[in-house]
Amino acid sequence: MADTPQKDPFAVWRELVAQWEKNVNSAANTAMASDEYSSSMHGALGMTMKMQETMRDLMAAYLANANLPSRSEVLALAERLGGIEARLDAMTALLERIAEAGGTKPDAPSRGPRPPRTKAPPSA
Amino acid sequence: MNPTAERIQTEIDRAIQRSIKGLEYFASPAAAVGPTPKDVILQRGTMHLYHYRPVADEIYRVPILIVMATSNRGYILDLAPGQSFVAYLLQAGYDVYLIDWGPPSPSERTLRFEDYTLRFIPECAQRVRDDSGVDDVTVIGYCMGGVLSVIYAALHPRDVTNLVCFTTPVDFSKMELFAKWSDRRYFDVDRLVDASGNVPSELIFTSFEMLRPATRLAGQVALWENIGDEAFVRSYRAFERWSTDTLPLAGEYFRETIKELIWENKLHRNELVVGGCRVDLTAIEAPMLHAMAEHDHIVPYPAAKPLIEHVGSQDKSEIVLKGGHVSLVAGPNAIKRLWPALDRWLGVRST
Repeated sequence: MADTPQKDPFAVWRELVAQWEKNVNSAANTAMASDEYSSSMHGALGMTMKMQETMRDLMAAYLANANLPSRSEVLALAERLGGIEARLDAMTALLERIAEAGGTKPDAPSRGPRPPRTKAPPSA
Repeated sequence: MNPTAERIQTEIDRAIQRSIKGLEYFASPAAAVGPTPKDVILQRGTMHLYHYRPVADEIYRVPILIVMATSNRGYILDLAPGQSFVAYLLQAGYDVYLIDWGPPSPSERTLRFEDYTLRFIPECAQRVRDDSGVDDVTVIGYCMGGVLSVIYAALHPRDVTNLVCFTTPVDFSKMELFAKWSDRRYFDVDRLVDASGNVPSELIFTSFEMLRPATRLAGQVALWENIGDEAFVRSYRAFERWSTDTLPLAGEYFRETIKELIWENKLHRNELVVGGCRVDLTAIEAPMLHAMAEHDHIVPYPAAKPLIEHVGSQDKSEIVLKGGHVSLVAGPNAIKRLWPALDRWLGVRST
């Protein structure tokens, strides 16, 4: 008697999961393509933004009362620090160019020798 | 023991092993990514230009400049040893540079298309020329990085030796769900950008997730089934880390994307104006390759397909490969399909 192939129950489970994923994605995509969905999604987004604005204002007032820096003040400091770093980078680059022009090798870490640019594609 | 009892015993053993491995999974640190040695050779704000250290004894004459998508981190192209597009290119003999966009700072909320395509990319391309000592540069753009590369190539046609795009949208009306969600009747993009400055990464992440709402859960089921397979778990964790590491978008850039590209579809209509210059896609004359994915849910094939028709290049071709938006460029599919196909196309154009 020939062996009948046994159905692997876990393969069936995997197929079910794959089918479920496909069906849910498809149904959700159809639902989300409707005008009603877009309208309600942006309504919810608008509400969330309003709540965040209110929270931000309240928090800023609280921090001011507690004599603590607000997020925007910390960010402004970070911006200024970033600006200083950028200017230092620009000055370093300028010094390197001046050193190169004067025939002096810049004291920068070496990135190692480069291989020759002679490679040809493998012939067909 | 009869076969059914044996099977049940095996499954009980596997379930116990899964539980042990599952605990290890949650206790272990996040996956390490971006392992290929590199140097930062230019930084502008949160943008970094990397040069990857060559590994071949000799390299092609023409270097590659990769422009990453603005919404995601560049390490998807250098995920892990054996899963790195960058490492593949290095081993194949290319000299590789990559532009990686970091999360924009509050002051970078004003960045627009012109900053990316008339300032950052040209400056990076010049840095690549200076660093490599070669005047020619191949530009490779992924997704919105492809859109920026196309705009750059149209505005600087003589500066691009070869242009390669991966899943790059041009007809935004065919990105149906995104177009629907940003319907101008309901979506007040000005209010969002004016209130938030930069568009939060959570919003970008949720938009991508909503395209396939069941896929994350199905992925977690697959992880649980394969929790004993270390290679699977390592790969899953790296992809998971990347997909949740979505970047915020610069506010003005987002506003332009919505208004100019999605609402007005100006790139497709060849009417986009950037920094006072019209982006004429027919001005692109460099050899061009556009690689697209058959099952791309983010940039569907009809949204990407017209790009190759628009450009003026004589030497141009497109390939449509099995896979999705991400598996086209990273993972086992990409290793077998895209990477060798790109090498075959690019090698002969890189001498």
